[in-house]
Amino acid sequence: MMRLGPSFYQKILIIICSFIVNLNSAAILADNWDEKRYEEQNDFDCTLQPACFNFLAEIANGEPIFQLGWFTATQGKSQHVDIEGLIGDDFEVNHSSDQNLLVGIGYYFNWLATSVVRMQYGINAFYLGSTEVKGHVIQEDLFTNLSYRYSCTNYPIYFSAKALIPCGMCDDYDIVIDLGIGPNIVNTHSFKEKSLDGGITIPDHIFSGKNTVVFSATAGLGWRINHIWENHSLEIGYRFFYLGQGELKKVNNQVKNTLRTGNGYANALVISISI
Amino acid sequence: MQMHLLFRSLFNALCLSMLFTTENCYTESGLFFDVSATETTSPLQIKLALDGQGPLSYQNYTVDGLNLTISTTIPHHTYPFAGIKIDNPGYRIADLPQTKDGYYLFSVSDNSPVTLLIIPPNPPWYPSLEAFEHYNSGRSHVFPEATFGGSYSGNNTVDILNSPMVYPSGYNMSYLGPNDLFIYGGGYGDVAGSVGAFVAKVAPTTLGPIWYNQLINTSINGEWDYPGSMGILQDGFIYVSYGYRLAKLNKNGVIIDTLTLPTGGAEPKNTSFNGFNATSDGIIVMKSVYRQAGCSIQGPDALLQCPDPTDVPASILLSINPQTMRIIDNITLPAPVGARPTIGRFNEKEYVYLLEPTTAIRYEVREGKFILDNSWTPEPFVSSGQTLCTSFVVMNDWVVAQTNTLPASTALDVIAINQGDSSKLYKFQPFEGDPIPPLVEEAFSTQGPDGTQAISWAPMSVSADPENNLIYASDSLPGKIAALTITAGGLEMVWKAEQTTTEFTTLIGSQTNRVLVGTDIPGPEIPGNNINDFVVWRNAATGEELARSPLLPAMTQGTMVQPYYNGNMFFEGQAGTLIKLMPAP
Repeated sequence: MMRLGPSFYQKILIIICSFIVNLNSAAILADNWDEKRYEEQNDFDCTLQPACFNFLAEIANGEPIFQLGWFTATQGKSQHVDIEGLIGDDFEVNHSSDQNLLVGIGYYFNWLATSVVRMQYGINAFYLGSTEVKGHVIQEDLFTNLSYRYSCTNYPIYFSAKALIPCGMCDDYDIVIDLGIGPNIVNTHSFKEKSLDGGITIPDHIFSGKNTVVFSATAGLGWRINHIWENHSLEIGYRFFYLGQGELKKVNNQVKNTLRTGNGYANALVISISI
Repeated sequence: MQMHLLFRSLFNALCLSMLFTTENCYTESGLFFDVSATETTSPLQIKLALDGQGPLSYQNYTVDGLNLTISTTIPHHTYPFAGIKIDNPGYRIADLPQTKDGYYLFSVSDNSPVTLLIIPPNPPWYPSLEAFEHYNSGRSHVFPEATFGGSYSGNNTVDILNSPMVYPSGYNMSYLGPNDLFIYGGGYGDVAGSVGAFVAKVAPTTLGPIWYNQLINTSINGEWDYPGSMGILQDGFIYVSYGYRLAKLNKNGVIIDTLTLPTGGAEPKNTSFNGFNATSDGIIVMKSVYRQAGCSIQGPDALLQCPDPTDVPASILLSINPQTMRIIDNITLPAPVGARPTIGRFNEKEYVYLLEPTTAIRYEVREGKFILDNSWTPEPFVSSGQTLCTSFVVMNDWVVAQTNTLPASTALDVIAINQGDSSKLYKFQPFEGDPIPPLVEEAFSTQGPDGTQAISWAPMSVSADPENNLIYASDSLPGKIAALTITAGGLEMVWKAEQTTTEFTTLIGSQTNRVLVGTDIPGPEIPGNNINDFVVWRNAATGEELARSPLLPAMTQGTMVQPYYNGNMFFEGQAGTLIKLMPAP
């Protein structure tokens, strides 16, 4: 069992500071890249990481990663849907949590390392498999005549930063902290209604699927085994996703407002392989 | 103390939240509408929507009646565009337009119910209030979508509106809807101003012509000008039979096609196809009548005043495809047949019923081909002193008719023959022994067969109400009208009233509020030579008079008061004035 002594907490503090400072540095670099000037501005010791002096070379020498995981998502929001001339329908959520698999693909490159943390930056896209939201439709706020369900599939794309913290004396293991922000394409689909009264009430089918681009963020904590096979490493970790709010499409002109998914979240266990 | 209040407030909030939560948890499914139905029919599947425009929030219902009373179950909310859709093919809602989704829209709430009337299908006729002269191919004369504009308790007035121009000897009207009304006439060549068939589109508010298409001028070509008829099939085209022709017009009055018909053993100029009928699959059926060769008398008078009106060839029976306007079948009947063909469906077969001089025959119509039914051979039912029957009317399992289409010396019989068994034949003389007004008796002193005293004359067919099992017969010489019913023991009188008419009667209104409408010749005038008419509305179940029009000019003889929308009716004056009749309480 790994022992977490005072030095470990110091490392965590340094990592957080590194994230802040490095993000600032990246902005400067983007405006006017000048290795020399940057070196002067940078308080960190880059001598241990020669690659940080050659940004383009680092990008070219980055590592692709492939991810596979299992997640549980929370989506769906009880809400009232106004209909022209009617009191309207209450869409109540009964089942907002669902699980599925995720896959991801990313590309990270090393840059701006310190003695206690090695930083990686990159882009990481995920496909979070379809999850389902279920509930009841209370028509005219009076009769629970229909049930409904729809599915959400998320395609978040993150601009990510990854901190790799060597684990004490052993070089073969790192603690990994991930942060990322970016757009998420929320794809709602498979909206269905079903009669709850033996077919007396006919499903309205007033919504259909829609793609919505929303803001999304992710954070993760993992354990990385370096050089598990040649240069490949394996990472196992927890990921939190903020997936934003998607919506469905109105398919009937009598419907005044559309159905929204509410803010979605997902908690995932992810295995990553870097090549 | 403050802490106590705080806990109490929190407790109250918790209770309230539980209450709301509980309410949501225990909401149940339920019906949006309360529906009650009268006028029993076989079960119909309908959809009712709180929003018929969507349609949204809609449910399936089964009703077993045609007259529906509908309210909502949701309190304190009015639904301005609720909707009803009938899943059974061909059924529709009276007086309401249909949306593209098949819904009929109406306003309803929990305390303001709406009453809707379902109109059963009427193939092959266009789904309007009147597309065929006698509503359906069975010639019932029941127009279920038409209503009575007055009060059923009586004390009604009847306002009239005269057309600004004449439509000579107007015969019948057909509608695509309330604003698309057409009149056919001109077929009474014995009436001044009638020079052959015309069709016109009439403006519903002014009664002026929107267009007027004179199809033929018989005053120039000398052909026999005898009434045909007009009808609109489900294709929306107007079909008109006149002389030995069948014309197909669109709603703008443009002739799409005209078919010249074979004339059998007579010359074309002496041939007329008096109207037409159609099978449920839309095949047109036509039958010829003839003027005696060498006789130049015009109009219906030729059937009475030519030297020997019976000296004519046997009639021919045609079937025609209205799409191609081509003849499918052409047969010669065993004898001259005067009455118009009636078509009924029985045991999944479609028959055309025809009346010969003393009995009746029927042909099965199969894909337009005529097949004589030798199993249906009623015994002769026209007695000595009686004359030909007018057209059959189909009433449930029966076909019914009345004798004496020409003046007769024997009281008329109402005849009912079972469609399944022609040996089941009932006869009844509703006006036997009824006195004849002296002036009428004198006018008809030699009008009977072989110059005998005529005591009976019924140039119109009966009307029949299948839902109420009532037959309406008339005799213009005693000046009576009667309602009969068919029982297990035969025909029985229900009521009889004083009314002198030479026209067909019209039945309007729903099954439970049926109204009988017909003309009434003023007392001193002689039927057939009258110059005036009244129009009378009666409670069809009791014979009680509900309304009477002001004195009107004489109606075209042998026609019918035409039903129209909104409780109004049309009266086709023989001299050509079209009159809208508007009864009101």
